[in-house]
Amino acid sequence: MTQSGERYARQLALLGAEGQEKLARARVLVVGAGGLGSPLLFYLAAAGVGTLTFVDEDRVAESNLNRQILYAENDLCRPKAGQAAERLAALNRTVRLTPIAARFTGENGPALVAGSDLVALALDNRETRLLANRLCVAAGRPLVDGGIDGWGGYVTTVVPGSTPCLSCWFEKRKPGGRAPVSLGPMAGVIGSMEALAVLQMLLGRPGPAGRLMLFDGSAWTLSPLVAGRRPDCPTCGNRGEAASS
Amino acid sequence: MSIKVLFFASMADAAGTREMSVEAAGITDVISVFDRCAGEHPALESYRSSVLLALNAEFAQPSSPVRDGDEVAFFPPVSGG
Repeated sequence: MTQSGERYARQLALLGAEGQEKLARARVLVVGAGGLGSPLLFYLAAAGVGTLTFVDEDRVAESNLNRQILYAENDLCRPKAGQAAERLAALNRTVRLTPIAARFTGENGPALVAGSDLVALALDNRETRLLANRLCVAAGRPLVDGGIDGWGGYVTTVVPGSTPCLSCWFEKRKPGGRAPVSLGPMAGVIGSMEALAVLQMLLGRPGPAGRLMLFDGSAWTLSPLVAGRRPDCPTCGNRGEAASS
Repeated sequence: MSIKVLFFASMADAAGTREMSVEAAGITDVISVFDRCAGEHPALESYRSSVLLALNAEFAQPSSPVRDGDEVAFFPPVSGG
């Protein structure tokens, strides 16, 4: 063990020393450090994920503060990435933190994905999700994604070559036309579910892999949708085995 | 004979209900179920091109065939974060 047993005492019984060491060795890339990224990053750092790289180009705005719990009033106008690093370092100084105050693009994305074991998305737009999805499928990196709007939210895990990718799920449907609205706890629920899915994947458990988990915060239901990979998927259709299963 | 329809999250608000049933007569595929529902609840129309579709708890396409007794579910697009 390279990390304090006392810090992780309440989870060691669940993970075992071997599981905790897996987390300590893991390198996770989180794209977006806003509403979903806040609980996601907090829980990954708290759990002892060894290396966290996170990308966000924005500065903290007052309208963020209803849900982006990484930030406080005295962070306004400062770059999110740097402020997030300060909060996370205060929570767990053993985590190696790499904040990147930039947009995730086709230029910087491939190296960031290649340098990670798993990618988690905490984004507010479909274009960047599909870009990250393409890069993860190409690099063979598992991907955890989540989204919220109003009372609705989803979480899924993509295992390239094995499960549907984000293009399989979403590319044939148009994105919603309205600006997303969100209540803080909805971001908390879905961001926390993403953190759970990331930790499970790092520990070798499938979590929601291959299922689109749809949360309705109004009706308090969690509904799994299942699907096979789309044989005609432009992103993963020709990769791996049994694309039509 | 009928088809059970479920609405989730903001689509339940748009429909004014979480569940309804539609007569199976004239229904051929998932999008024809949506047509019928949007006819009764016009606020659903704005979701036409973006709604996520499920048929008997499996991910579906607009053209997925629907039979009497099936359950169709509609989820709004969710891309915020």
